[in-house]
Amino acid sequence: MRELVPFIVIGLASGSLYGLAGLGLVLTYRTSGIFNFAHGAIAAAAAYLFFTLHVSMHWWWPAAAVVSIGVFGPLAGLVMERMARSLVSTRTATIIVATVGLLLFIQGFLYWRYGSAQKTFPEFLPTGTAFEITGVTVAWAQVINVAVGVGSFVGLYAFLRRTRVGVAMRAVVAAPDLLALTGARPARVRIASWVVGCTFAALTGILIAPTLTLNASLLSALVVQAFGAVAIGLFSSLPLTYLGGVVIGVGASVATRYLSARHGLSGIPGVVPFLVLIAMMLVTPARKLPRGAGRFEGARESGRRLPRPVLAGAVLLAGAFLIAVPHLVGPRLPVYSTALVFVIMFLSLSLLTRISGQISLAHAAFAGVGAATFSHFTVDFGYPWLIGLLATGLVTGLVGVVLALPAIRLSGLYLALATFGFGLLMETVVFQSWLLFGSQVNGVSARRPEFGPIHAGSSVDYYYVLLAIVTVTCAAMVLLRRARLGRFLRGMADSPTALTTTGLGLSITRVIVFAVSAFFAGLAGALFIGQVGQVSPITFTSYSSLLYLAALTVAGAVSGFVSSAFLAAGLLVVFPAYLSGVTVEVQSMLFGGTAVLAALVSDGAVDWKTLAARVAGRLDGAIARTDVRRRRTPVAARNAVAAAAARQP
Amino acid sequence: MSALTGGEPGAGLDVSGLTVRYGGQLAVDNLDLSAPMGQLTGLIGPNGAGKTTTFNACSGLLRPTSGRVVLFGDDVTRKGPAARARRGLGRTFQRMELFTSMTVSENVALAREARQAGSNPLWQQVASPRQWATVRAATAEALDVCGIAGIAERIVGTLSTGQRRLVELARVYAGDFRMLLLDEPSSGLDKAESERFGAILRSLVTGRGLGILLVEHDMELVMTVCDDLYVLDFGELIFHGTPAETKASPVVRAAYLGSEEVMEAAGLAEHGVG
Repeated sequence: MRELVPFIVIGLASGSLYGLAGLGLVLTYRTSGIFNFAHGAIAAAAAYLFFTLHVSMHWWWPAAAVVSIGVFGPLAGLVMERMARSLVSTRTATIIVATVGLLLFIQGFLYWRYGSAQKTFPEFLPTGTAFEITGVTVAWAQVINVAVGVGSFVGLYAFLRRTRVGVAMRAVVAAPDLLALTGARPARVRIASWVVGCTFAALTGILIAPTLTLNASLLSALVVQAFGAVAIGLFSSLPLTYLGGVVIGVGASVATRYLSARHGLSGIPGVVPFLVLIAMMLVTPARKLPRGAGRFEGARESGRRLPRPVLAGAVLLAGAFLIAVPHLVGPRLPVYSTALVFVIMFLSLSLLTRISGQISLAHAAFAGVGAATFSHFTVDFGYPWLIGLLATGLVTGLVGVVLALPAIRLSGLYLALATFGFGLLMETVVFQSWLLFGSQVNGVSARRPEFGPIHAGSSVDYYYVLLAIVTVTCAAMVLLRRARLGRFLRGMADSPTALTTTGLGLSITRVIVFAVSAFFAGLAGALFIGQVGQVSPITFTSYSSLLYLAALTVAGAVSGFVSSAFLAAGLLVVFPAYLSGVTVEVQSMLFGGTAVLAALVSDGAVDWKTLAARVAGRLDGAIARTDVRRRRTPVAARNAVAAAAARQP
Repeated sequence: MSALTGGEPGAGLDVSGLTVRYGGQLAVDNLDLSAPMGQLTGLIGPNGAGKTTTFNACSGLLRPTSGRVVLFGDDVTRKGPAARARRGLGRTFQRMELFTSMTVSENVALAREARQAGSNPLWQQVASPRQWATVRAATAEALDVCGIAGIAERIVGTLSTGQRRLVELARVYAGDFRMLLLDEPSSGLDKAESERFGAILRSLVTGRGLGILLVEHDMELVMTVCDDLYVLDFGELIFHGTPAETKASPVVRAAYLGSEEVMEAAGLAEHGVG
């Protein structure tokens, strides 16, 4: 027991901060209905700001803290509130994509501005010994972390009980519509909660950075710990959320003590929060989870089909171009081959998100499973190429069924969170197992196909093999959409209630669509490995899943089901090959930022006409003001006075 | 199309002791109600009386706090909405639930397809030629009966409210449901449409022997088409009787006091309240 004390101390210090992050998340979610995936990214941004002020510009740390917590936090809150207000009546998927886009944007910006290398974040709090328990020294910094966590919780609790705004906040949580009737202004309450929530995020970011070291993705992933805490609090209880954070912190720390030395399990401590998140999503009855903002049905792009001849012409032209690519692009051919692989990936994701109204934040994980499985089948077991490919698809399809288990019960936000947790779990633990990538750093490899006139050594041949598979996939997707299953999927996106009250067992439908989607994502992973030769699990992170979703959303805003897959692949893979400045960080910023905009514009969150009218109105106002100002010039004023005097009887 | 197959003849939907609580709020309190086959049963009451909540509990979208829902003689209280639909319970929604990105005929056909597919993974993916023939015939008939064959290829998202109501009705018609729960099907219809609507409902009940439970605010329609009426107020059953008895009831008048318009339309005001 005594040997556990240091781990418990460390766990309490970090857990208290997870709880603090969780409090901010619950507060904003419950008052606005918007679950902020970018909560951790805001914390990261605050930490980098503090770093710049304190380390680079040598500010005194309390001054830097005041600016990055007291100024940046509330400002971020105001921006978030404005965004949340625009999003609140759109579709749930749009809301998720918008905050995910913001996460990508902030993270991309931080990488681009500060580089991806980890920076040591100085412990600015006093590190001297505060006291000892059973011979274990407890540092002042740790005491302060716990004190800030507990203090913020108690302060928030008192604020919600004692102040007018606080009581109104609780009322918003309970019944937003009723509050407006009582005369309190829900808008003011929402602003207050976003300001408090984002300030908590900033506070968490700065306090936790010294232990995590400064790294944008680590800090953004802080939100996952907060997710776990929030899940324990069932997305509504503040005390349980804070406690949940502490439990996760202590649990992860104690797990480190027992598991870090064991091979294969060393990843476990880091995933305690995902395990908690997944477990809570699996066991909590869906009706116990609060309904967030957003709706399922309506406003989906529809009915705007191109005339047949135009469509046929476009398909022919695109086909001719794709066939000619190897003769046109020279040494850039691998870029186009990779893009073809991504077309399959995007079609598979689009089937879920665009056609069926589901959401997946774990699509890269399916591709990862596909890549590793394909390597085992073809290299280790020596299956023929095509058999190996199909078998791989079946295996990932089965994994899709496993992921569909939470999907059956959950929808919208909670489905997104469950898939996100699943992706993180795959990335951090399952990929390292011998079943998939094993512990080799270089990852796994696979052969290219060799039959008939197709040579494994020729990139051009492989390009055409990929093109053939892409063609088959496109045809399959188009047929699927028109078949009975496709009608059910489109119906499910429009109104699941209508389908289930006419007799369809929606659970089965959801399982089928996840299986089909995972099948194709697995194919993409398998084909990717043939394209690049060797693949390590680093390619298939949750971050990639988020990036794919954002890219598809951006492309989908301006194109159809099949064409958006090609456009997204072009944007993600081909476009950067021609512009040397477009690194992953810049892409993250571009896709993230555009996904936010696309989310705001689609579904009528921001109506262009209203916006244009408002801008025109502002301009008119400005011109009018200039007129007044002109009139106030001495001559004009004198004339006006004279005119007024002349009118006097 | 066979309307009356299986189940006890006459036994439609029976609700006993239904209680639904939202937190501390009692939405429906110990309600007994029965909607037999071959009859149009009305469920009326002021806003917030618990009518839609009763519908949700009957169709399985909501789990009641206590009480039993019996459909064609079988207890379905523990069954989900899809299972109840497959037994022949169809419903429409006050805030219409339509597939807005699909055409009218796709909307109507999908109801029959959903019933055929149920929870069978194979039939969810493809239709057999026989199933497809049934779907086509049912869709054509439903579009024709509801008078919307002319707009069959329009996207539902572009239709007016009145047209959407008809699409929803055509959907439950095509689905071959024997017991229909219709939630304010005539709101948003003009007078002519509403009369046509009433005629369709009567023909479903007398011609095809269906059972209908109707929630409706249009008192004129309710009084002319219903055989039997249940009146709810604040979740409690305050009256049960024929339309004529309901008109005469002082209890019902008291519940509707303040909504003169409704009473006038229903002919309640003729007795003179003040």
